[in-house]
Amino acid sequence: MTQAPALSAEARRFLEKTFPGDAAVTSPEEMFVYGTDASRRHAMPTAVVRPDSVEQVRELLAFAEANRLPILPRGRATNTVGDCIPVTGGIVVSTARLNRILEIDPDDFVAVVEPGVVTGDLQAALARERLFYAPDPASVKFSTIGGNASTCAGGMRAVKYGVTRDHILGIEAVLPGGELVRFGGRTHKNVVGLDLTRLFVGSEGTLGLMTRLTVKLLPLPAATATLALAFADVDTALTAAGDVFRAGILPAALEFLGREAMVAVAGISEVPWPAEAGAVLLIRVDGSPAAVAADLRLLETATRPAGPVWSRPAATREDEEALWELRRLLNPASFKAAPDKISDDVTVPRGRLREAAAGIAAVAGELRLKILFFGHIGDGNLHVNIMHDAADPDERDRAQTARERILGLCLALRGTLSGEHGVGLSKLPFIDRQLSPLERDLMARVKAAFDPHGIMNPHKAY
Amino acid sequence: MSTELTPVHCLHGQGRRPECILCGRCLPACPLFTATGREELSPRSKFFLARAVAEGRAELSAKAAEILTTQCLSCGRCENACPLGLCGPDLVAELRASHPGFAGFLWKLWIERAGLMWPLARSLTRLLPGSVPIEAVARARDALAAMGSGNAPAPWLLPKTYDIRHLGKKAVLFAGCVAEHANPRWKDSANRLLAGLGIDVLPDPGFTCCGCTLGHAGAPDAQAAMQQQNIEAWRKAGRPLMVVFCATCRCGLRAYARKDLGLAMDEIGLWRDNLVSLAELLGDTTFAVANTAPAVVRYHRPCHGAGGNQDLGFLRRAMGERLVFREEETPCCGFGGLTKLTAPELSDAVAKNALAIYAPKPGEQIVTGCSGCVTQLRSVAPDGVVVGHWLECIG
Repeated sequence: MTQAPALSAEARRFLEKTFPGDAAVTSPEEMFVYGTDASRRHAMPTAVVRPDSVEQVRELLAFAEANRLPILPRGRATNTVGDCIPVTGGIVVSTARLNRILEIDPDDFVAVVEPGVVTGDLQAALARERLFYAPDPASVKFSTIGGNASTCAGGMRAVKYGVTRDHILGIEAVLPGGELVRFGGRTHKNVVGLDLTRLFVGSEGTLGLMTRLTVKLLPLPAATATLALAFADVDTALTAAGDVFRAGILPAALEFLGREAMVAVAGISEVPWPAEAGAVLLIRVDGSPAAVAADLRLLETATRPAGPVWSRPAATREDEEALWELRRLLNPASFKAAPDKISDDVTVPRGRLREAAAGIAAVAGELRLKILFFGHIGDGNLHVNIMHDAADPDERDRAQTARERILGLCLALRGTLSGEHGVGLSKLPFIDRQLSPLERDLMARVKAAFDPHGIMNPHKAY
Repeated sequence: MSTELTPVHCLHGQGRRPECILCGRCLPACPLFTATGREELSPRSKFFLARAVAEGRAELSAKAAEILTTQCLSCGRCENACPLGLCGPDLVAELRASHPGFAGFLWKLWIERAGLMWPLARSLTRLLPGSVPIEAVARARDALAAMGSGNAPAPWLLPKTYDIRHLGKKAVLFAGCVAEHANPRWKDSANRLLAGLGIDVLPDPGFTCCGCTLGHAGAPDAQAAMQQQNIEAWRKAGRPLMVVFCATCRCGLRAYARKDLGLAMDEIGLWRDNLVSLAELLGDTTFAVANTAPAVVRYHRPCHGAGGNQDLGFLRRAMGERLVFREEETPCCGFGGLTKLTAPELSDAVAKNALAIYAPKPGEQIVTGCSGCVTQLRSVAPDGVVVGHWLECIG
């Protein structure tokens, strides 16, 4: 095992006192998994703690600030850009025991939760009261709301409801030094002062450690329905997607799978679409039962001119789930397509999607690579997986070249390097292509205001 | 313990085992993680650490061996959650089986602490003479007898009319370790019901433990010996219906039809078809409900429910509205695998988590169809809450 900076005797005493029993972990074997995340990078932490109270977090951040110890917040470590990797050692703070739903208020339409709550569990609890927390990243059943907020997770419903940032009303957090701060509140509107709540969301754990989140709730849509469509090729599918908006429909989700992505899913699951299809759209609408039924008919009409080769409407929960589970399987499925992948979640203005798709296909052809291409095209958000075998130096080089070209292409189309995964470690080398030196300097100064010694999740994000 | 592990082989028959992608889907599925918040116990952690050990990036220290081989409930929930079909219990069983010191460690455990495993130990002394010192057996037997007593439900379901669609069929009862040795009343109940159904119950042809636990424990040779004995016993009885009322036994026996254990081609289908749960045979049997019936009965679904959940359908018919089962609330009891012996505090934490989810009120009952679950949940049930095998509810 590669070693992290050793824990001083004083730090060990502090951790054992503040985190008694099994709440502090210092053996390398037990800490091993805490050095990784879904990016599959690894570095050893110096120690791991599992607080179950805000007081413990405050004491920890006071001690860490005084001793300049890096602090690495960790939910379920499902992020794909290396946000949880302790690159310079430090103390990993698992939120596994800060996992209570503290309040669901059906009159204020807010819920107050601790960061370790699994987002899907919150949604299930809310659904029992016909309430709704809208963001739904693909990892919704196994990632936490704290992690979702740290990365400003998007998801399939973002096209209609917005991203995590649009649904966090208030944050309680501990800053380096141990100070407890509360930003925002529980009103659905709030324009007093700079919006530090929205700043904290998406800060990738670099400003402080969240201990409570107040989230915005909506009435649970009474009904949903999904239309799945297959087309002969990518361009036709993207044209049909544009037709949906042009017909005046704002879907609750609009997902796209390119041919290689469809094949990857078919590798680990049965799929309903015809084998010869070149692209698939999954379109969901929600609302009252009558509105949903009408929207489904509108969708069928709107997508007909593009000429789908297959279509399947789904109006029951089971039928819909069967379709959407295929979409959620894409990330795991992609790992079967080749030993290694470079994964990006570039995003372009909605109107430039067809150009982006054509450009990516051209790169794949030119560099003889398999590139999986799918995503939340309602947002212009494309998940691009460049499949390769890193053991083959030539192939690895071609994959790197492809990545550079695709990132360049998307920026040229006035897009962004990342729509929802964040920068973490894996996109950091490219960040100057999108942000000016002045912007980065401003960000560094903002961080310093919260974290003057740079102990919060250092060397990442911006 | 710094012995190298032998290479890990894939049990899913597709060349090498797919590599864990660290996606995190197994965490909410894992009862150990759910009850403790200790990520190091999760399947993701085990696959990650095992790989590092196999590749020489991490040492197989005593601590690593402990995580990898003693802290898993063998419930198999992670396999269902994993998009690549990776199975934590398979990994743990392989590591146990491939570790030269593990068999000795296992016997020592069983002998020193094992009330629960006594039936296995006794059967094994017969099958593999010399493995288990006999003096340990008496102590273990006493512990097991104590386990069998406890607070069982008084019968409140009385058979009214029997479903006789299987009238005259021949069957053998596969009662399983706990019923054989700790809860003989279950066996009596089952025999009475089978008689009511008009089924011709043949004498026990010499069945032994199903071997499921031994497989998880990483003792494949001992498991195979038991499997062989059971197949022979079934043949000797004329390959009749094999009736089970324990989910784990059923799961263990079903697996025979997938493994190369010497079942002939024409026997494999017959084995699978003739392995039936008692609940399935009871079919449309009707029951009168005594006025001592509890207002609420919570159904605990065993993790080892492979092949269907016949008990639930039957219990809904027999118990009606008072039976409560929520698909999103199906905790593991924490009994499984070796963890009950190797890390009893973890096993207890999982059991307590299950009870916290069920939150039964005094007077309510929890019923299930697995011997291990009954034993485990009964040991942590609060005063006034009775846990039982559903057979115990039938008079």
